[in-house]
Amino acid sequence: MSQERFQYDNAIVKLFIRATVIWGITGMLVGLTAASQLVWPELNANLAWLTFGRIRPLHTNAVIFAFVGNGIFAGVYYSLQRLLKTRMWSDALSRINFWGWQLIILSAVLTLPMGYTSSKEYAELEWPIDIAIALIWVVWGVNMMATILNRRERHLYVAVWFYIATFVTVAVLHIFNSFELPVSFMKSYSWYAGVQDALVQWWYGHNAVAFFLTTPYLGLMYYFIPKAAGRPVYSYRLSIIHFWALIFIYIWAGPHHLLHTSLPDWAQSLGTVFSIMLIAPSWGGMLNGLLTLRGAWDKVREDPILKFMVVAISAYGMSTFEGPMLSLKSVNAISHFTDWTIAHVHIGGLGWNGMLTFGMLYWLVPKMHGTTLYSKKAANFHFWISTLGILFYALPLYWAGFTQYFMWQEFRPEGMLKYPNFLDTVLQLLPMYTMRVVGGTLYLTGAIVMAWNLAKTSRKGSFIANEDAEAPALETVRGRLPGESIHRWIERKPMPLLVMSLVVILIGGLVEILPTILVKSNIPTIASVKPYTPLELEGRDLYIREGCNNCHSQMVRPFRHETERYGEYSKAGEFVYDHPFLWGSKRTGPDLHREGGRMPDSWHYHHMYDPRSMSPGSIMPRYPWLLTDDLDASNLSAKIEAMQTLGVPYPEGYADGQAQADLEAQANAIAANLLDADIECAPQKEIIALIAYLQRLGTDINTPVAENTVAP
Amino acid sequence: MMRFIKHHLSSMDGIEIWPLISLLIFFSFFVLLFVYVMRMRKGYIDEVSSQPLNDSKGTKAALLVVLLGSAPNLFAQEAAPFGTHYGLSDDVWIVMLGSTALLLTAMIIGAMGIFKNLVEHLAEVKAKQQAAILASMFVLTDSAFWGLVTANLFLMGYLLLVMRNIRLVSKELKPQIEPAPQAAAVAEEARVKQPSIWAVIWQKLNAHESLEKEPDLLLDHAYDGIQELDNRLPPWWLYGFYVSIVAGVIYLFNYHIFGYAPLMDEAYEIEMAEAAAETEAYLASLALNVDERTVEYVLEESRLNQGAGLFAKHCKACHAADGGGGVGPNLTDNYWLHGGQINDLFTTIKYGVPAKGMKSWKADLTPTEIQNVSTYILSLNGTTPLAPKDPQGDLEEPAQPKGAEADEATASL
Repeated sequence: MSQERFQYDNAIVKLFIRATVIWGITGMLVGLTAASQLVWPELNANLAWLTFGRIRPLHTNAVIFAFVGNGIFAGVYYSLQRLLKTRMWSDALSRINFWGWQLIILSAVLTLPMGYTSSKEYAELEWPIDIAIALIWVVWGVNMMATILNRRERHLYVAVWFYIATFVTVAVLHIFNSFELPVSFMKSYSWYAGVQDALVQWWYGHNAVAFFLTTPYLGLMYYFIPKAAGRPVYSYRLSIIHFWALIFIYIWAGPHHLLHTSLPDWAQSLGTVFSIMLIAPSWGGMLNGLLTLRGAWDKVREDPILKFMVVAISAYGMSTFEGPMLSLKSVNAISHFTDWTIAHVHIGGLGWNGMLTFGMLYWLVPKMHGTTLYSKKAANFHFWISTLGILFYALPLYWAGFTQYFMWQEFRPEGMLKYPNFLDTVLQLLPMYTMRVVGGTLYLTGAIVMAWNLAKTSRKGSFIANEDAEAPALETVRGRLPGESIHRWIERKPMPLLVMSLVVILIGGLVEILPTILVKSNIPTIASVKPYTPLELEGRDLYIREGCNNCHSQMVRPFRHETERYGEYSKAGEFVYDHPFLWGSKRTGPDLHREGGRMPDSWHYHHMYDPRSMSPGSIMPRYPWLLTDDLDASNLSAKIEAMQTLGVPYPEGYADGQAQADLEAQANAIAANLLDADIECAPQKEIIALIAYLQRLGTDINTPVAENTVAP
Repeated sequence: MMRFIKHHLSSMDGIEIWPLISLLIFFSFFVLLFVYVMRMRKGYIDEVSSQPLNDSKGTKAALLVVLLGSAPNLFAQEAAPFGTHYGLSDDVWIVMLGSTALLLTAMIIGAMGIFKNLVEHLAEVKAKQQAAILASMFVLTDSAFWGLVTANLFLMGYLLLVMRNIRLVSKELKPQIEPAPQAAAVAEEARVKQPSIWAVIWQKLNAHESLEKEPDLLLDHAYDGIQELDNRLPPWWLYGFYVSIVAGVIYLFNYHIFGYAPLMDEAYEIEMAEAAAETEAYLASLALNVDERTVEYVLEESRLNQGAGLFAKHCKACHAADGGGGVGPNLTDNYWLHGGQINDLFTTIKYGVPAKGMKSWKADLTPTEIQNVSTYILSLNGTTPLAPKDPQGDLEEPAQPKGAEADEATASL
């Protein structure tokens, strides 16, 4: 067997590391801004591009795809080459991956604050960027699979199984969730509607967590912890069982984001049940990581890298226990729409993803520069301040979540709500929100210190752009070897492994999504539900543009305290024309599904101009430009036609003029209404469209009118 | 936050199972800990004590706090050398007695909690009178609860004190009871042959092999220097996994196949029915059943005060702080869209005017509150607001409060 000489590409890793650090700090800064805006709404500064609703998706996309995304690529490009004893198959594809990904991020930074959004969480980027994501993702996958096929290490290490599963699953999730019909260059409507859109979205959303935030990082954990600790992995058997169990079960858990909503009961139960079953596979990863440190615990005391990794894995374990607990309907009744969900997300994000990234970077940068870390003291400081930051972030938000829920559901013995004004429950939380800002600041400070430390380290050493290595070439082996277990066989067969992973992850999606789409009885038809009028459609698009669904939900749950507060609970059939659905995930402001007719048009006019004029103490940003900007209805025909393609029953030829006429008529009516209230507003202003939409919400079903209504 | 949740724990169905479970857990832990400590060998303790990690800074800090509060005890003349012949090290004592104190605290709080919940649960099931008598025996008022907590904290502190004394004395006596070298060697061997029960439990749960066995477990895998061990799947993890799968099956059968548990919609109907029954029972017991037919305009200081407060909170956004109007009509003039008598105001406020955008307040205000707000609004009649809205509706005579003297009062407002 001849020894082949080759070189590992470190330059690409360095590029990704730089991007990880820069986007990490950027993403955290945007998050800190958003958090501060909740406490000091003046920080919205009356600038459309800076309002909470527009920058919150920028924060989520930045930390998930820019920070963790680049972290994944950095770790994978480093570890994959060494685990396979070969250089990346194509340097060109590596660089296309890098620059393509950064351009995608840049386009997010530009388009999201400008209001170009699909409103679907972690999939807000509009259709041209979705296409770019798919292309770059495939570039990465092709490069990776080709590298694997050209490897000099016969068997694939567990980390590589996770990388393959990541590639395959994220591709499937992204493509299927991004089925949208473009209306213009930066606007599209989701292919799915209402309940089905919700299910597909959270099949995607939960598994974005699973296969973007978890599986690649588990792969990285399997590489970097044994390397950093110098210890063997605890149990090979455990890695097999938990890998396959994890990728199979995770997919089914999507509906746990939709408990007590209009999603059919059977789908909700599947979500709950599979989330509980998911505890063990997730903890398998935690155990393998922690138990690998058996015999090296004294090293953990000295080494900041191992400290980061231990806290990361522990946070992973906590999160993957809390998640299933939140998937129980009784717990979810308390947590849904509150800050408890946010706290949970950040334990995982800051604890697992953040800390593991930091540990990995502290290990990689000195190694690639042939030197030691510039300041171990600073790394230790970073460790402690970020741990503290996580605590200051999560604990106040747990408190806030409980407080808000218990206020929402409290009744007086006379039978009415104790806190009928939603705003009272929000104002109660402001001290906790302030603490959360402190926590985020601590965490960000740590990241900045890390950036400085890593920069100093790279300057101290000299970068090894291409690392020499040698290994014998692999001889081809045909068929099964005698005594070889099935798994040992599939470990040396990357394509069957890929196909097997694909089959396994498709099962859950098919079982949950196909019946919801194909079996009509899952969404009982309500005859009185009609499509949105053209003006209401335009208003809905404004609602999406401003990111209102980031603070307001549109899903009244079947609980007494919700029906007392908002009206009749939401039915599946009401959402059949909602492309995309707007159920929301959080109530920083009240639910709006039954907002129609609750307040006069003039109330909405004043409220959007300055929320505090109608709700003193409100933390909602101001939207003065809605009152001064003209509605851009130039795409109306395209929008109506797109909706018709998607199955919304507008009359034949409605887009050819009748739609425009109806829009103007309705706008005039609303303007006249406002005039009655001494408000002069031209009918072509954006606020008119938004008022039309808000006044439509929830009015499709006939809620029982109060007896003895006073005649108008 | 506590004030929002304190009273709800008792109203949740089946809540008493939780303190019971917690009591069971704590009690079992206490028993196991006791057994573990009693079976410990001195040699093992010494070995663990000499580990480099034992710098006892935390211990010293905790004891310093206790020391400062226990000055009189410094002058104790005789302390019974309680556990000295076991030769247990300081830290084990601290752990043991500290946890005992904590467990006692938890048990006492848990027990009181259970009794309170059980009794309140009984109150729903049995006749109220019976339950009231029973409850008065066990009821835990807020002050009693916090008093118990404080008492337990003092108990903990006292125990830490006592244990410090024992530790001091045992330290002095230790050299006298050091076993002979031969005996030590024998004890050493005995320890090696018989692992402690705690180690046995841990080993069985995890199927850990000892670290010495590691070379045997190494597989012939090597990935960039990373090796893998062939350890077994931890039994607790594996059987826990199976249990979660079985639990999932049972859940699905329970909800969807046998239908024992109600689904979302049915659970909602049940909740609403229960609430309606409760509310009706409560209201029937009170004389708050004013409605739009029976309401009367009575000018009273207390009514005006409450009405003013409610108006400022709920109405001023649309009707202006002085009633002059804005989004809603002017309430200070004699022109009324929906009638200006108190029962008209009551009706308007209670049911709202949905077509015009006035919200219905019957879900937010009790009938008495609606009466008082109406009273306050009528008292604003004839006042001069800062920016009065133009009159809307029909001209009416101002409403007259009950009683002639009230006429003077209205005129002077």
